[in-house]
Amino acid sequence: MTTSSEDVLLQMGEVRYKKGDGTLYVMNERLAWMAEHRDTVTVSHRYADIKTQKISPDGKPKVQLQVVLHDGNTSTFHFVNRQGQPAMLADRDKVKELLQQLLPNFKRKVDKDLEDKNRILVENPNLLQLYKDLVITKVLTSDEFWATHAKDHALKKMAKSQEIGVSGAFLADIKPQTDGCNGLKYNLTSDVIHCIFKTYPAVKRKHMENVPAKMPESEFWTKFFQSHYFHRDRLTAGTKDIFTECGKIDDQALKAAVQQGAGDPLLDLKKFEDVPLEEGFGSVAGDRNVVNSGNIVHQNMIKRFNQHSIMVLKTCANVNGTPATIPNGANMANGPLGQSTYTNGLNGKGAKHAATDSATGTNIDAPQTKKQRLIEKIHYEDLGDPLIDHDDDALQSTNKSKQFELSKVERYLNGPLQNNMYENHNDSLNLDDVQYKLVRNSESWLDRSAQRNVICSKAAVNALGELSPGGSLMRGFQEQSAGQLVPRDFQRDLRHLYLSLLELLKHFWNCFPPTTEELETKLQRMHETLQRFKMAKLVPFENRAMHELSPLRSSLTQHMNMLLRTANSKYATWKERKLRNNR
Amino acid sequence: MKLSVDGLLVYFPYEYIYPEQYAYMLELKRSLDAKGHCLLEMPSGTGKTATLLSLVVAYMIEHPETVRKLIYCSRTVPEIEKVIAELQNLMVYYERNAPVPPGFTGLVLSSRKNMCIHPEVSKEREGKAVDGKCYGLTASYIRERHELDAEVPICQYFEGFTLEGKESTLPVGVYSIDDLKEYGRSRNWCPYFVARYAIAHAHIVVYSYHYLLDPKIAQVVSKEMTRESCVVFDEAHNIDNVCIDSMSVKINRRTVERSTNALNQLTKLVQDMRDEDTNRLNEEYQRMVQGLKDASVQRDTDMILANPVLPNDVLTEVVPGNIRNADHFLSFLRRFIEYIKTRLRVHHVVQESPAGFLKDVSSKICIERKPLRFCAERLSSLLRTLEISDMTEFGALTLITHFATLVSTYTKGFTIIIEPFDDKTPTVSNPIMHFSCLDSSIAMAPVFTRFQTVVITSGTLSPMDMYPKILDFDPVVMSSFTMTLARPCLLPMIVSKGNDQVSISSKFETREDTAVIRNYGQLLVEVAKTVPDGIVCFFTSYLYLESVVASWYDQGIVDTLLRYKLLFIETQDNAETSYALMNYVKACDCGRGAVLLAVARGKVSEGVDFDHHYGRAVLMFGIPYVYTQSRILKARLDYLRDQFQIRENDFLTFDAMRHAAQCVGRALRGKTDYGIMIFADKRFSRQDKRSRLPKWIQEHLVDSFCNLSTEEAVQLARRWLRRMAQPFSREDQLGISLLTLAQLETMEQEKLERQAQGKQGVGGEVQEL
Repeated sequence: MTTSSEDVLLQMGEVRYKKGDGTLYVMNERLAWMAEHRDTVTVSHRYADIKTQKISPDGKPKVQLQVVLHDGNTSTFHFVNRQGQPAMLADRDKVKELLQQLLPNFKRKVDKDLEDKNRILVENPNLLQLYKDLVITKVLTSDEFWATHAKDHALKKMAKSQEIGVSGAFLADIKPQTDGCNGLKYNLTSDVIHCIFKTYPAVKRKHMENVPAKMPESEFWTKFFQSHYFHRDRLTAGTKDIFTECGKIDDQALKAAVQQGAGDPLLDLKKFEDVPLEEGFGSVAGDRNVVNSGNIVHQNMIKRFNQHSIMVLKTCANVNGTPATIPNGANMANGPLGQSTYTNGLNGKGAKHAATDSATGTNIDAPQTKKQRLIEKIHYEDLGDPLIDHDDDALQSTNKSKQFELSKVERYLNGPLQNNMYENHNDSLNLDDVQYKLVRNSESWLDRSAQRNVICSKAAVNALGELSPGGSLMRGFQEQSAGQLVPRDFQRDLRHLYLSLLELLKHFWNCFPPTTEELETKLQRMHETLQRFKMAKLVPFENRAMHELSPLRSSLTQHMNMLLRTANSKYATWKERKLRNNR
Repeated sequence: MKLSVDGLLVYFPYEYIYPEQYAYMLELKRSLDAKGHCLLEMPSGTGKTATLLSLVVAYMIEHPETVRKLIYCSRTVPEIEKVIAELQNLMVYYERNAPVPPGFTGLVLSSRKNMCIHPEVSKEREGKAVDGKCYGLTASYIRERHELDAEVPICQYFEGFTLEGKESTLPVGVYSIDDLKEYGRSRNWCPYFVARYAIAHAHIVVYSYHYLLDPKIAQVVSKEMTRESCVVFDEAHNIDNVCIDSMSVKINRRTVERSTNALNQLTKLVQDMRDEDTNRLNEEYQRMVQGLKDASVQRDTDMILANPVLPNDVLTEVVPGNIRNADHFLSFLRRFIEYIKTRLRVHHVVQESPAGFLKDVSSKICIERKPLRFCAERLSSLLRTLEISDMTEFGALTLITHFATLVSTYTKGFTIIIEPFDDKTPTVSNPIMHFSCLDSSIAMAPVFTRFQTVVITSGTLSPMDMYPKILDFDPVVMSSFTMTLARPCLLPMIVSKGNDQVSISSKFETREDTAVIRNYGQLLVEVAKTVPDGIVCFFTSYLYLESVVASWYDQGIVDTLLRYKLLFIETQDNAETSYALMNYVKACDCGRGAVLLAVARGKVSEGVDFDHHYGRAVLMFGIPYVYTQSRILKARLDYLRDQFQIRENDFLTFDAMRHAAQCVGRALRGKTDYGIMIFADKRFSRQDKRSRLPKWIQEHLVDSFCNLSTEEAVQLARRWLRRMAQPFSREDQLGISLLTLAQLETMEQEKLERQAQGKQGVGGEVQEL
């Protein structure tokens, strides 16, 4: 195994490996260990294979050195110098330091990027096929492929997966079943547990505290189902219940939130009454609502319903909060890079509510938000804006909160006009042609409607019978669809061809209208790519089809050719226009 | 746009106008011309406030001698603020477009709680506490004391105001509460008193009903309003209850106990004062002998204890001799309280007239009517003499004196009912003495006589002939306007039976029936499945809501409901309900959708709008009759029958239907809005109920929608929703339910021509009763 030509840089005796004593050799390109009294190397690691080395902490009785390989395997060497601990340490350090010097030289440049790409390809078979078809056949360069065609996948990996919302009825979905012997069985899924934890953080805390330290998982959930959370008509009176405390925590949180007030002045019932009647005044209407029904169970239940809904709502508020940045990221994909500071869409509503939310905490801008709410309320959209502009601060705050964010400013400013201009001129069908066809078509419509004397139904049925398979007129016909005619491998190839072609075409058409320099170059590039694709993939395929499937021949690729032709003509027109404009 | 309403140039701050707004202006102008009162019903969401303001302001500019002032009364603080915001719009429009800006001052007056800017006092949340603390800093004797001893705290803002603010007038403009606060802060003046002074000369005043209707407050605040005013009561469908509430008193055992304590304390204070300084008591006595009224200018911070009776009924005589002396007065009060205590010790319900009560008083404890009438005034004078700033302890005693004054002043239109226990708990003794006003016209009468034009308006005033009767006035104009619509944006339906054909109704015999409750639940679930976003349900009472929710939970309906939407429920705690409401709004905003269960006559039904996606459907479970077993209600019904020839049933149905209309009307706040209104009770389909709905709802309630089962209703709703979800632009409305100036003028032309030919007005949009 060993090649003797290698220089041994360090030889360290009294090293134990897997309970066998031996010698450790640090060589030019690898690390090796040979058992005592043997002449073959038992362990040999190329430096390139070694990821890291680890050492046992000082103070441990065993002095060890471990090398971790890229494939995850490890080898541990135990230094057993008879002269005692310090000597062992010295030995170990010597090896360690030498390795420290050597390893970086051999460190394979682990291309993280490559790994990622590899992973993406493995995860997406379609993409892999595309890669095979386009990059390996040299239609596209690898960089190009990753930059344009696989970008979504790359981005998707970064974007967090969407969180699942909480259904309002998740507790109701846990249907109890009788287990046959006077008991109930509840089926809990991990989704439900997730929902419970999300909605009731107090329960989650309890779960963390108690499971599995104080009670097993199942007992915890049994208790949960016995608690007031599940049976909302139950009072929280039970003292033994571990969830009593949870209930209290929830109640306190709710109370604090209630104390803080509604925030929106138009919803705060407490502030509705301007001059409340003095105590003792008032009569019928007033005190009827104050009458306490006395049914504390019902009131408690109502409170729980409110609480439950509020908690569920809170979970989705939290979700709304976190991915606020993600849409921005996704929109970057649409717009050309560099302009990504703008995002499409009106974020007004959200921002406004954020404003109201923050207003609850700080009262400084409360009058502002209040005023804005009032203006909103008295605004009748069909009567038109009040014919005045609120030059005062109200408008400013409106502006502040309603930012119109665009991904392509020029597109917004210019409107879709440019687009039309391009499209009208180079439509493959010209106007006369269309008109002619229309006239022809409409003539036949007239015929049809004018024709009152249709053939009798009996004759029609007969004719239909003759024309059906098995009928007299259909003798020579064999029922064969293209699917049966074309062999499997052709079908597969065809599918792959379509896949790649459409992907390319997508990017080609995306370049229109080419308003920026960048887009123009891209267009140019895409056009060339298409040509290359045609030569490298389509034409060989056609040839093969011609060879092996004479009856179908060109019909298979007809559509693809048409697509390519359209793209070509579009490109040609654009080119021509551009030349003309430049002149 | 600038438009001419019957020759009057009106600046309307919008580009377009609804036809009914124009009609409304015409009617309003007619009543201003006639200097008479009017009753106008216009659907909610048709821009009533903007219409009203622009016409009255235009009228005030044109005829400054006829109408000098606009007093706009609304019910809730948000409503008041909306009015001010509309007024601000209008004034800015005038400034931009009118050759000469009108130079009007408009402002809002609200309670101290909403207006205080004192750093400590304004932190209080309760209105009463704010008032109390304010008195404690601003009362005249406190300020006198401060002059002697700088340690005594006073309010810098009030001081600033008295130093410089009293003589100056508010600059021209429109002031909302926040604007006033800002103004106050910048000048170091108290915004509350700035407003209190400014309303005397402002052109437009916006405040709550109570400032005009409640004699205790009106006397203080609205005393100096000129006769040439136009008074508007907006959202006035409930005005009779406001009138009654402001003059009714309830006394229970706790009130008596507390007032006894207060009385003891007063006795002690008088004793102390006599030991220290007899002068002041003597001075007070002398004042009373001479019948001198207190110089009011200096005392406007002290008048916590205004007389509870109406200004014309306050006696202008001197205080009778037997209560002039402080000691005498206190023993007089003690006797009276003892008497009330004995009256509360009954075992069966007693109902008697004020006259009978007075007779009994005079025979048992030898108290005549006349000194009783001075009770309230005498106590307030004594409290002032004793320099008491913390009024909280004397609330109960004040109440008793108010009662004394009221009962001895009014012998008609009131009744006294003593109930020894609550009807629900007949074993627990909890005696209450109700002194109840039966006649809403008593509080309303001075307003009608004092002001030239009183406009009573609301979205739901039907049946309108009831209001002139119960408020006892004679309107010159009485109109109900429909809503011209380019598409049927409301879908009223009467669901009378469930899918199992069991008729649903909240009537007493069947309301606890599980079949009925289940059917209600299924209706709600089906609606929740079909209708997007927010759904609001109203129950007839809180008790019923509670029991229905409990049964729904048992029947599993709540769980099914939660699958579709979140559930929020109104509770008796306002703070909690506000929080639930906020979350309801949030749930609607984020697209999750929610159901809100509320109570008719509750706070939610009266003050919160569920426009657009906040309320795509409203369900009215049952007919919201008032609790008919109440003795006070019975007394009132008897009185109405005897005095105004209103039949019991008529009044009850009227009352129930106006509340039902009020509830369902919450969902529709404009022509671009759309909403389903489901009346879930068999009895709604009866003619006497149906015909009492506002015209704008009745119009869309065709016969085929009046007896539906749950399934049928949901089918209809589904089809209708699909239609409503189509884009709806201004162009669709133009010419039908929305007019430009040009269209308005041509329409007007046609109308004139037709009138010349002796025909009716344009297409029934103005229907006079």
